[in-house]
Amino acid sequence: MKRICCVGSAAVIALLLTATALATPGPGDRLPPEYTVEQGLTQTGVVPATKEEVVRTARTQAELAAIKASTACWQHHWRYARGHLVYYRAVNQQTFWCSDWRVITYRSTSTWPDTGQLCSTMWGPQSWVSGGGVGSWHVDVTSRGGFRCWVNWFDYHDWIHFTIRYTYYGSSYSV
Amino acid sequence: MSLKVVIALVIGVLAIWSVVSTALWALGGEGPTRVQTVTVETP
Repeated sequence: MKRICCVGSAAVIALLLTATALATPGPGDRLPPEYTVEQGLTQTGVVPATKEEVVRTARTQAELAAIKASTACWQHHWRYARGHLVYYRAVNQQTFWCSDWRVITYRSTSTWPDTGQLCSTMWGPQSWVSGGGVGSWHVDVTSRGGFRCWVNWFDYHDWIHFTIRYTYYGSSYSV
Repeated sequence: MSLKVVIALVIGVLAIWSVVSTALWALGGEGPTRVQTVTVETP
């Protein structure tokens, strides 16, 4: 019996070590080269990192005028994660926005998933404006993504959903 | 090692792994949390 316990324990430890070795890398390590920039219209690209980049990539005169009128810009990255190691799954939301210290003048958001080796993205992630917007004192961005994980020989499904409020004075918080 | 022992071992390991994997899937998580803040431009 003692021998069974020892061998059994060794096997469990080996399984745990394997799971740890396969652990999900840290945030940012698994970013796809391109992800969706959502800004009214959806297109492929990356979220802008500077105001100059926004000016360079502006698609309309109105967008160009809005960004030039802005006096402050910020970029925040939010993440909602669940699970551990190989069962890790997360939705990332990165928003670049500007204001003239009264109202929001520009916003673009990128959303991408992040999973451990035994989970995968089932749908999404998607993001959309759920409140406020350009011309308002804030903009609420909601992100949502569905995941499936292989747990005990079954497919477990769940989803992550969260909303972040970005304000004209450069703060952001969960609502 | 007899067949009975081997079967008992396999069942034991699978039972323990099913508990551990369910816990890894169900427990933990953080969020939403802000992981990066960059002030691009302010006057």
